[in-house]
Amino acid sequence: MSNTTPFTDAHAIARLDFALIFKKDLTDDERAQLALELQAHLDQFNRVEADNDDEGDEPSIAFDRTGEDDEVTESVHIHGNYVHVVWSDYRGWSFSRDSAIGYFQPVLKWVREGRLALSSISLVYRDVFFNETPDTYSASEVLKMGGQYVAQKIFSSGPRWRHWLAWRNSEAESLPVVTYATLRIEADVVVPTGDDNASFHCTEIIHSQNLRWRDDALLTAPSDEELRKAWNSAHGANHALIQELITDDMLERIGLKEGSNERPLPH
Amino acid sequence: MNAHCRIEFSDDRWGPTAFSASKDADFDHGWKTAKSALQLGRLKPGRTYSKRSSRLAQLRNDAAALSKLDLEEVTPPSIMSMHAARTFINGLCEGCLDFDLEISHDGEINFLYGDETELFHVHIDEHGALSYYAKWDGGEMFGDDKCAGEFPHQELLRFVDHRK
Repeated sequence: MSNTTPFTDAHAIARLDFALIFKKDLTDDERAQLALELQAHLDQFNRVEADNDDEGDEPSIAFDRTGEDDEVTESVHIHGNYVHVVWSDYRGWSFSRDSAIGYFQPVLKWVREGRLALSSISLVYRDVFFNETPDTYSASEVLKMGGQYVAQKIFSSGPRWRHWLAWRNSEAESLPVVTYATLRIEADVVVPTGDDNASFHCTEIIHSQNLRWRDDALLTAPSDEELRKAWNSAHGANHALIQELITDDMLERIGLKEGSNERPLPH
Repeated sequence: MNAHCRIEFSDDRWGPTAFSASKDADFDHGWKTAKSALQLGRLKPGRTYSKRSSRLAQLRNDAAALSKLDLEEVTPPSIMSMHAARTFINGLCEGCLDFDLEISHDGEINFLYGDETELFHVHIDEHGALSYYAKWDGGEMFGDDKCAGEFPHQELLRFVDHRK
């Protein structure tokens, strides 16, 4: 039995990001005005002081929605050249996608009015796997051996390594979008500070899809439906990647092999 | 796939070439993907996420257990009913995740709230159609043949709040 477990009982997803990326940085005035409009729109969110340690040095404006115990479930951030929605409580693809598009509405209004020029959209998954007994860690408990996305050397490289891969899906010229994909995997032993200082092993897989429409007109004023389709495409690519990347055991534990225990509908 | 690969082992680097950032990688630069959740110390799921995930896992495990019975008169839930049940759970408000889950021998999925006197029952049939019946505070409400996305979550939240 594997000692490695996914982030939760049902998912490995620790964070899911939807981003609208602009051609130019927002001016201070634009950021302030957009923040006011988002604040009015996001009625279940609270504006919070940006934690620049978390997001880097650039200034950001943040809105958080909290769940039980005041933990953050969703966030909306305004950054230099992008606005993104971050899910910390993953609620399935359709719900997350449609809610994100709903949260983005004031930003999309600016895009459709020509006040902001969209460059691309992105979707980023952060999947996390733990092993409470780091001495027993093996990369093969999470990652399939022999796959095209991971160098075989990592399976004999101990508990600490990093892996980075990026590519462009250019073969499908007929598709309305071009996709730039990245895959970053980090494996490390974590020693928490504080009273509970038992170390554990963490494997984090960050996989992202950045989409740019071939037709500039669509990028200028994408409808909600076109955004839905574009993010569906990114989600499909991420799904295909993770199916190829991680072991069958882990796929089953995070519900990506669902269907085997379910009966098909009668015709 | 046109790939560039960089792999790091401690301070050593090897591999074909360093990844050359494209002009479309602004998001990566701005968002600082170099800072991972691991580095940020966000290593535990929130209570709501944990609870929702454990309910989804329970649904999956119960359905799997039913399918393993391999009895003629027992049929596991259909793909459509499992999809509808997951959509229902994902749509639940934070306060509505404490339900009793029952999967019948013919694969129908039931979510039960309350008791005999005050109840809110949600039923998903083999085609993924959702029905509900609620009775509390001297009144009743029901709905039939809905898709999971049409379920009135605010009414369920009112019921749960009333029962507190």
